[in-house]
Amino acid sequence: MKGMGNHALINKGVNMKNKQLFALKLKRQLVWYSFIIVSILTLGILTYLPMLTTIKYSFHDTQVLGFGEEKFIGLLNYQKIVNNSSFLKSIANTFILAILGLASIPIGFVLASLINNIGKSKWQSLFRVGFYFPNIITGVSVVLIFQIVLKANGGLLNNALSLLTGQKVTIGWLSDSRFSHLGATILSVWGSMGYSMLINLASLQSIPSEIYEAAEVDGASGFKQWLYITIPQMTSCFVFLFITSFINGLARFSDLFIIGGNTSAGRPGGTLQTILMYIYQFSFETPQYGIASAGAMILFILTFTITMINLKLTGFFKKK
Amino acid sequence: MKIKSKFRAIFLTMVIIASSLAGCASANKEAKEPSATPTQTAEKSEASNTTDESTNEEAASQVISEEAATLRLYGPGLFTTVGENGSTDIVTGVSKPGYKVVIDRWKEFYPNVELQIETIPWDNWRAATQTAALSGDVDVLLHGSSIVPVCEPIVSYLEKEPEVREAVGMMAMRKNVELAPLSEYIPYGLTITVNPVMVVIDKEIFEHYGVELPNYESWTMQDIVDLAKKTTGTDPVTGKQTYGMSMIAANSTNKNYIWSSRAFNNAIFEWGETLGTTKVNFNNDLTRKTLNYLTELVSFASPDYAEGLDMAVAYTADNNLAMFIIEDAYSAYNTIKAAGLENKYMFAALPKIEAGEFAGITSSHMGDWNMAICNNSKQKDLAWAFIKFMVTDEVVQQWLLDTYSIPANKAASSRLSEFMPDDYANSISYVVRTSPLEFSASANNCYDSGNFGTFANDLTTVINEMAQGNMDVEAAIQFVQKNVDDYLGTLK
Repeated sequence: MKGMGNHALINKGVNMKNKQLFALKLKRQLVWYSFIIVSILTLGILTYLPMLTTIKYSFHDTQVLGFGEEKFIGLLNYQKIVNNSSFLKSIANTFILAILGLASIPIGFVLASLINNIGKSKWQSLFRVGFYFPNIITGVSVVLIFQIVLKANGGLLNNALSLLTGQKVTIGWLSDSRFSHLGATILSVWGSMGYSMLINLASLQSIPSEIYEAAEVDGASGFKQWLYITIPQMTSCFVFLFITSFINGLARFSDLFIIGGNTSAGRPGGTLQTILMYIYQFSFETPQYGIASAGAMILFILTFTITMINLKLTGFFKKK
Repeated sequence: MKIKSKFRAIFLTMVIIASSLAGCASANKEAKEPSATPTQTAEKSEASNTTDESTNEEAASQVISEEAATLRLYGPGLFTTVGENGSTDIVTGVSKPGYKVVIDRWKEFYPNVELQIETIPWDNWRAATQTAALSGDVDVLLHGSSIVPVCEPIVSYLEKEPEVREAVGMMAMRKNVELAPLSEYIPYGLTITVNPVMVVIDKEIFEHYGVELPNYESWTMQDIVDLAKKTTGTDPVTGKQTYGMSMIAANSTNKNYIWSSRAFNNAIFEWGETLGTTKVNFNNDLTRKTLNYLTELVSFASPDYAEGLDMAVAYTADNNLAMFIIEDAYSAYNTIKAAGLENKYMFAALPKIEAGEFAGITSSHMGDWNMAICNNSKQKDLAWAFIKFMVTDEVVQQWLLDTYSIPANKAASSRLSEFMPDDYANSISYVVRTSPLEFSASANNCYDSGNFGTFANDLTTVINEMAQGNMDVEAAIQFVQKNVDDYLGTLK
């Protein structure tokens, strides 16, 4: 009995201790959660709730959000826009522009290599800042500048091409639908190559110098060092830039909207109308919020799928 | 100590509850106040009506209301441009009085109704206005009638007060199958100021080429082409390159379709009982004629037209455009005046309509700045009183003229010649005087930007593509027709 009593006392003591430990753990957890609760609530209310609402509206016949009767119509909005040639064209435009925009990665890499070769000096800092500078200029100013640079009649680029070819060049880079994809890409690459250069440079400078020294001892030429050491070491940087640039490309809107003269028509000839501009058109210009929501969901699915494929291909899900 | 703390806590809780109840009470009060109709306010305040000498006949019918309320206004337009206390244009040096004039005048009739005005720029105004309307905190939408689903039709108000309809030269009209057959227009708001589309003519360039100035009340579509052709080339006097015609900017060249299709009387709509059963007969010979006409006319424009850079030296002594089409007549006049070039230019209305119901009048259409009642407002009657006040009150009309705007009020706009020379004022007045009430830049018998999906954007696309030589007229017509048909098909 005495033994039993001691055992019960010990059990009681362990229970008490467990409870205290649990209370302590909970208290600590609550402290940690208290730090992120505001962010979680903000994210939930301002991001996920509108997302869920958009899903709901994509299945409804809604003209203007919050006004008029909302009728459930199933997948009809999706059917409407998938069969709409303008929407399909806007998807094609979005992908063409996003893919062409990836040119900023190799350009940024070449710039970073050149700047890195200068060695750490004030000149390197100057070029680093100089090439990054376009990245901090507002989009509107960039478009205004490039409207002059890329204009058909006496634009800077056409003048340079005229000088090189010996013939008068009058290409409407932003006004002729045959060249507008290229024109819009020149504009975006100019704006983003500084960022690409900076990431590439940081990555280049993190490659251990011992590898190059060993290769040099083995008699590897500069080109071979670049091909067999630099490029493989830069893979993760390229992947990062590829994913971020591509997703940014899919979400391109404001510069193209301004090029088109503040309309979502995607001037010239609808060639610069991206999915976002198509969605904007049906949200605010000719309000059909149900169709716009369906477009937004398709854009979400496309972006999500591409990101997943990228992550899969780059081994993000592999267990280390 | 513990008891003291408890009492303190109870006291604070009671304070919170009491404040909340007080807040609710005042909110309820505000919600109830709007029910006071103009008729009711008239009964209450007839005796105390002021005898202000400056009050005109319409304004005299306004009454002093003692009801307390707050009327909330939201949107872009003139209020944004001038601000509460006025503004000065840095280019022209022109000063404009602020909307405080309107507030002060309103206070004379409604001393206890506070005007809460939230102004926004034109950028992204539709999105902002829709969001504001959705919040339920707006009574009057500034330029709201272009977004029909958020506006209250004002048919019943106009039936009660027909003199308001008579007073104005234009009204914000749209179509609504639930209220009337689609062939009829429903007024959704009152137009406060108008912007007629005008042609600016450089008289000097015409003189240099020895070309006679046109009579804008009788000139034809072919006359414009002939004049543009004659004035494109090397100026015989200055030796500089000049261009015959610069139309409305390429990024909104669908507006060039509005006036030209109207001039050719290309009425394309076959209204059904609903939009789903309505037909748009875009594929016709008059559309071919219109699109070919615009392509021909654009060939006399500056090579910078497509990029919107052709107007760089317009309104200067070095202007190289013999004719150019504008949408902001009063601002254009101010710029000309500020540059001291009033004798160099003149305004003209666009050519006359060739056939149909409106044959013989100008094909110039008018843009507008309007006000509408938000359809979820709890103070609709008060909102109506305000927008009516904006188009009928004499002091407000004078303020509109002082801000270099063209009032929609016919009596006020006829006074335009007091503010600018006849070479400018007469043609503007001609357009305002002759334009049909329902003919606007957004909805008319030849064009409708609100009901047919991407119709407006598609027109911009094809007209620009034809101008660049990337599309022929048949491909253009097929493109637009298919998109309209696809869109209407989704409404069935």
